[in-house]
Amino acid sequence: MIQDKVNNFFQFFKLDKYLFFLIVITLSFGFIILYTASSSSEKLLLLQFRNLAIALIVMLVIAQIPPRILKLYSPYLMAIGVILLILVYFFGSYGGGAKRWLDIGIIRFQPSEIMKVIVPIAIASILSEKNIPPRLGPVLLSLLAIFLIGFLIYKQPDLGTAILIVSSGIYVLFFAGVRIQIIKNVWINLSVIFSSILGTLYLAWNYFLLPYQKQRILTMIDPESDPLGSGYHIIQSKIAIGSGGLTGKGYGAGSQSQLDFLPEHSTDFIFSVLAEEMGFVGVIFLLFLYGLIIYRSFQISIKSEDNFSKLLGLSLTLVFFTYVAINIAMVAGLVPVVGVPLPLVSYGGSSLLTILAIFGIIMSVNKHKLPGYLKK
Amino acid sequence: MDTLANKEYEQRIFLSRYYIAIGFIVLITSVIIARIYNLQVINHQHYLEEALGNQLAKRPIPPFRGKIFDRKGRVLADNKLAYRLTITPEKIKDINQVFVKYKEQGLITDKHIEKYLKVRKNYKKFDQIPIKYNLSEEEMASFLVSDNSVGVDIEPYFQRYYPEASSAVHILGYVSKMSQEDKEIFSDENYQGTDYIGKIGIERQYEELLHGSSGTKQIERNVDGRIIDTDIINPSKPGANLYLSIDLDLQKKAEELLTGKRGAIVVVDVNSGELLTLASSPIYDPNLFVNGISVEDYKSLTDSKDIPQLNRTIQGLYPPGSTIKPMVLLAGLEEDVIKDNHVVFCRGFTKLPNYSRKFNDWKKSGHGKVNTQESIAQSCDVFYYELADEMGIDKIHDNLQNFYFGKPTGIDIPGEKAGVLPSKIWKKINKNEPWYRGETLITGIGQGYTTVSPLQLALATAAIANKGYLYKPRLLKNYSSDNKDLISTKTEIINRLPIKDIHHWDDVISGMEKTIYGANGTARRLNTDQKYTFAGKTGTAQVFGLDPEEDYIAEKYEEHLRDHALFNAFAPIKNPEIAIAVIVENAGSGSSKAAPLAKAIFDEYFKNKETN
Repeated sequence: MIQDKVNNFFQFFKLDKYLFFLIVITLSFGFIILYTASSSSEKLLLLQFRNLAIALIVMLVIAQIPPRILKLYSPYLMAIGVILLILVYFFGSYGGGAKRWLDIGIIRFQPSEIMKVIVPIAIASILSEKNIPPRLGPVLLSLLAIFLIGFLIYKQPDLGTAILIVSSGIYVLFFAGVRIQIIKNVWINLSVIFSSILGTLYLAWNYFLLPYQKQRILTMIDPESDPLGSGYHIIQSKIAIGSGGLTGKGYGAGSQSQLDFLPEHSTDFIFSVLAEEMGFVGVIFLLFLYGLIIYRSFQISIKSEDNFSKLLGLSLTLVFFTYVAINIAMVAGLVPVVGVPLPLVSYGGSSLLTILAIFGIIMSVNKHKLPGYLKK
Repeated sequence: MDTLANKEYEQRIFLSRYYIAIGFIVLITSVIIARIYNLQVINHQHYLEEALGNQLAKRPIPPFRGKIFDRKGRVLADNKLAYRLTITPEKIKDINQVFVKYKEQGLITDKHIEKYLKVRKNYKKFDQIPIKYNLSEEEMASFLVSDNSVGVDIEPYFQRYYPEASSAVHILGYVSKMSQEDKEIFSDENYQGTDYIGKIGIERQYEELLHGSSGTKQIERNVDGRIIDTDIINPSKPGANLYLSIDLDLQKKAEELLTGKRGAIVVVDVNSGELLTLASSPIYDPNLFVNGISVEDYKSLTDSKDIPQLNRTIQGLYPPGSTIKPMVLLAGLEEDVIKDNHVVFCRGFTKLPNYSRKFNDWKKSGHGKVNTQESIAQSCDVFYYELADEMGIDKIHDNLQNFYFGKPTGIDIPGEKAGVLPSKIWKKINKNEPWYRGETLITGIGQGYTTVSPLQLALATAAIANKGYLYKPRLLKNYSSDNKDLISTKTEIINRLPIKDIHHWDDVISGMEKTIYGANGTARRLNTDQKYTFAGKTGTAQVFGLDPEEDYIAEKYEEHLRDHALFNAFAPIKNPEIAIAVIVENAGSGSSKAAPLAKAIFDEYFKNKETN
């Protein structure tokens, strides 16, 4: 009986039961980490609950919107997004040394956050107009849009968001079957491209570049970055992760985070808090949760009916993974610090809003099967 | 267009890309997991140690330096709470900017920066390095109200403080920053947290007693280096409080009497060797040295012709002049060179065969018939020329050596000089010349090669007063460790002079008595009606260079060729209590320039004794 009622509830709100539960479990785990990361600050926890309430409502609302509506309005969404970004460029307000915010009296928000969702929608829309794989025209249009928006955000400056947005656009192109043809075999193709890019970067970074050169490169790419400062942050973060060991120092007992050695420990570096206090076991548990979320999202997306939905769902899932991967790679010292929060765990309203909006879209893709007469 | 085949083709693309994406995710996730595994499992121990090192550090707890009191418990050296401006370079991005800022604010000057850069290497990472000490209230206020840079702090500390300022400076000495040499001597763990160290005087002599033992604390810091928890592993033990034998009233009186003069006054307890006064003039303020003396102050001290830093009581070497006559007479009597009824007719000079020059008495007209006692009272030179000549230099040397002339007395402050008590061997070794007979004569009246310190003179005088006991001079009377019982230092006899006939000693003392109370006594002017009696000997020493090794007077003070005024005495005559030696450099006659000072000290001593 109760089960039926629950099922009805999810069906009514067009939510995917499994995905919703996985998100709730991850969020709960996130709150547990946030509580210790904020040195048991109830105030921060309450603020994050408020953020979560807003984000959940947004997710719920977005889940009700059929994908075709999104597709229909995607040009307008895109236009609004680009205008907002241009407005930021000229009239944006400063915060933390960057011009990211738009102040419209009652609220202050970052148009670049909205773009994280709008860009995949718009690109998916462009590429799904005709059959896939798309022709050259739509591909070039997509690339132009992606890099224009990426450039505007990079100029704010906000390297982290720019990377995420550009990659989200690229993901759509990728799922649409666009390929860089070197030899016929896709697998060999891709593995050659991936491994050569990664290999070159890895070798360059670790063996060929001198420390001051790395610093220069970092400063060049991201003027806002403080190589010396982030170097210190990374050292502290690695100490936090490493000293956690297999099972961690215990909840609330992480000296690195509790004593403020770890920077930004409720936001960007919250993963290190988890790693320090709950150890490798805690890390694997969180990665397992993320893995399930990604798996479920992929399943939903691949099973959706139209190309637009598939493209959008698959890309957004990969975007979610990118968030996770960049954040962890960043705090573990694998990539430079670019300021990407850990999804569903880090403190912060806008990040949570974006992530739940993404899941709102994925859920809408699942439940809004097209009416039969509209099926092509 | 929308054929089924096309649909299938699209689905194939989606599926292949879907699997590639999953492959990509698995690959990246594996890299991340490998990285985390490497950090958390393989290198766990390394990072665990790093984390511990980050937050926990052992720090020494510097002990509270012992205080120094006079014999009546008046504070001579204390510690006061002060504040210093510190810099933690690791926390500062642009140190030059910080310097400019605080220079503009007027808190520091280039000199502070210079000093800071010099001492910087002596500190450990994340240490707060002091840049300016002893901030005034205005400076504190100015710092606290301004917007301060991270890494610049104010830190409380205990600063050595000498409340009596210049008084007794030559006894106490002072503390100052540890030098490289000090660090080599006191390099052990006990000195890890110590900033100050005794440089001279009591502060140096009893450094280890005063210092106490350092403790250890474990501090837990956060990222700002702010200490959030402190665990005392073992507490520090404060240094011992020292009680000196010095009587501050008497010391100050002596310093007052010497104001504007160069000289020294030593007052010693006849029956123990405790020093009641050890005054050297001029004096200077030891507080100047505590945080490092400024270049100007130091220059004015070292450039002064009066050499204020010289402790004349133990380092000033003077020809004793006539003040040595009582000891020479005693030697003559005890060595049986003369009998106690020995009489000399003084014509104002004496001659030696083969010597063209005459040996003049200070009184050109002569003293006429002079017996043993009158020889002292009137300070007849001819009497002593003849006595010395008959005794010979080596007998004089051997006897006077019993009084520790020419030997360090072992006083408990560093820097004592031995002076010279000449002998034939001494001259052979030091001058590579044979001894001349004429030199024996002038040695008999305390001239020539002989030099003594005021302390030696006072001790010898005390040994005559107490009939043969040469006590080791002592400044430390007792001390208390851990604020527990007082531990007294032991009275030590460094030499017991042989006594052949006690009447000889009485004879000498009577002569010294007649110096004041005799009709022809050189210090008869001091015979006013005191409530005490005293016996003494005046001396007027010619300046021929103070010490063959140290010819600072002869070279620097060509113009200062006036005689030194000396006086040594003890009181009361019956059951003597204190002995005194006074020297005033280039002041002239001992009877008019030195003896009145001694009397003023006696007056003060007996007045205080009465009131107590």
